[in-house]
Amino acid sequence: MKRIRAQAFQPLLPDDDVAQKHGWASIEDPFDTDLGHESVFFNEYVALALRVDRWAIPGPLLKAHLKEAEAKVLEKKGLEKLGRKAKADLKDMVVKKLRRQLVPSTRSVDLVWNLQTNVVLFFSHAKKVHELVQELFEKTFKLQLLIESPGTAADRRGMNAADQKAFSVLEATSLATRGGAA
Amino acid sequence: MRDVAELVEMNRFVGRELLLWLWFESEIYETNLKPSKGPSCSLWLETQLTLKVETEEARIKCPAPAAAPEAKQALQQGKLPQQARLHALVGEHEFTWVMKAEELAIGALKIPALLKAEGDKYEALYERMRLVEELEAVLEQLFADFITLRLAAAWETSIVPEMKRWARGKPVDEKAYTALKEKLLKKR
Repeated sequence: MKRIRAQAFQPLLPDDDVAQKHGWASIEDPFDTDLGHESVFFNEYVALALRVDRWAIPGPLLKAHLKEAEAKVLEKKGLEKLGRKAKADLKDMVVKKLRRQLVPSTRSVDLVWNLQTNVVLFFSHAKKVHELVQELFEKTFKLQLLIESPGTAADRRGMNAADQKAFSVLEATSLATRGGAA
Repeated sequence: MRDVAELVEMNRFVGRELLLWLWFESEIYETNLKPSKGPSCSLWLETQLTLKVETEEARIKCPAPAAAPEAKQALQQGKLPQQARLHALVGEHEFTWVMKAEELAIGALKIPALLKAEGDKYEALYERMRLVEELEAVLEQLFADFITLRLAAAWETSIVPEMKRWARGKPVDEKAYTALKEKLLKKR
């Protein structure tokens, strides 16, 4: 429980240097990040939600505010053009200012771990979310997740040495007929 | 077989062959599949089927895509099912889902409507998990049976020729196929 709490979701703040944060939340309510035994353990199941918050500032909005801020700085300093570093600092300032007027987008995906079968079900197929949950799961539980695939499913079935060898040299089946479809 | 990344990536095409075999069995047994262990089930393909070979793809969307002539034509062109919506009846429980063959991934899963009061958070989760695991157990057993057949020499010599006949719309020797399958599964 201590390890889960250590990786619980922490709020994404406007002044954070990162645009996205993720962590564990309650499976029932992703806004409940004060995780307790009763919200995580359901008999043989560990049930959690991966919560991902992200600042999503619309491009045209950022561009318009950046243009306005740049014009003000140029006028104030009597310059014609800003340097690369000054532009980057200005963008950072504008982004943080805009973040204060917005709320981050929140996404949560359920994860249920059956402690008896050691099978973890994760209810998303998005590649980026998979990477996040794998990293967080391994950091939290010090266990590596083995992704489901024909290879892992065949291995789980318990292949003997001969089967392993046969599996490793399989060639793809084709039902193609000479000349293709009639 | 011990390197994790290698194991995950190894022979992903086997997932497409599993989907092909499920389709084949579903048709020759009129949807009634009998895994060697555990409950039997009814299983069929519905509404969408994607077949692929290299970069060529055929997408079929209709109520019964497996029965569409384009589906069998695609098999004859060497394409194999890559993704399909499946429908299964396990006991009284009805499931639909999209299977991505190369990942053996289940997506857009619809489980039977929850029977218990939604107010009880524990019961709701147990019920959801029981149903998901019920389907998982059937699919796991079907995969185990399939892989036994796939690794047998008879796959190339007897099963693939039957599948080719089936793909060409010719009669399949169901009795001979069933006898062979039972023999191979018994040996396991």
